[in-house]
Amino acid sequence: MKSRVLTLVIGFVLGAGSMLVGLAQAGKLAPSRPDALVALAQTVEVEHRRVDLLLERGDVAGAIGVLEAQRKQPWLGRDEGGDVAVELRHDLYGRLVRLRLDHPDVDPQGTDALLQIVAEGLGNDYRDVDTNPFTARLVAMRGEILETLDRDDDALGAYEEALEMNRTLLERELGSEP
Amino acid sequence: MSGHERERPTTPSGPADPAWEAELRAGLEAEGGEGSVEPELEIARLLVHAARVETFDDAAAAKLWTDIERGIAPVPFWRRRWFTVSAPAALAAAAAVILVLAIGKSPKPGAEGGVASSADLLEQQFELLAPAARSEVTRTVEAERAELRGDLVALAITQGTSRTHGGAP
Repeated sequence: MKSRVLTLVIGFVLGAGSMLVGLAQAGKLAPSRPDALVALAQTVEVEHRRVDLLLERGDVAGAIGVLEAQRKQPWLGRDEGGDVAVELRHDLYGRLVRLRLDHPDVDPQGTDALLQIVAEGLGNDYRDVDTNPFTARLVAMRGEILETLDRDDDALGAYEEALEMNRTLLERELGSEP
Repeated sequence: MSGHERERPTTPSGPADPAWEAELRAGLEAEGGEGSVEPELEIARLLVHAARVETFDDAAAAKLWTDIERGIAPVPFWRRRWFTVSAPAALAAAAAVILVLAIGKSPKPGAEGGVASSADLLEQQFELLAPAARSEVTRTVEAERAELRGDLVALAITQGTSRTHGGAP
């Protein structure tokens, strides 16, 4: 009798949890490998903390090195980690590119290399990902790099794309999403 | 100072005497006016001129030097003819170059300057939106983690239950 009640309670809790997960991921592609996503999120969070500490100490080169090391790790695809895995990647790549743009004298990279980093971070399916500020930032920084190459039209296109993403996000924040 | 003087000795009865030429011409006419004494007269005039006392006082020297300085002093560039012609042309050209550069560097609508300001705006928007997005990512991951934990617990319970109820021979 006692074990039946316990099973019912666990079933109820699991059902409620599944509902919450579903609500939290409304409009987002759910991960097919949640265990891998959780592991990835933990790793990325730890590395972000490490970068925070390095930057507090003024060690920009060290921070860039940590992010570059993370860049080389195998990333979960959208089909495995869902939209969240892609957002985590865009966030980390965005931080890396921001640091490289703000500190061009640290481990200098050419603009082509920076564009390559951005393209690698965005991937081919970034437009399919649910709108988020990390993707918008990475797209915006692509525009920033294109601007330095005097590719004004391409830069303008990137900025407009990023601004459109942020406009959608701001509308969501204000609760006025159509 | 009395200035510079140059004096040559003259003989009153010689060619330096102005009366000498008159006497010479008179004598020539008296003899019928034949022949020419003009070359001799030219030499005589030169000798007279050379023998004449010339004064060269300070005032004359100053005037001379003033004339010389005026003659050899360089004319200021703004008073030269080439400047009066070329300066307006150069000014016009410079103004045209500045205008072209200014137009070239002025922000095109939605480009260059606009792009730079868009970059700043986007970064500001990111700073505004990122905290909420990170919180949402954390919530999602935590929910996934909770679900996994629940699955593991359920699995453990199921296995424990099956061992308890169905494991005994």
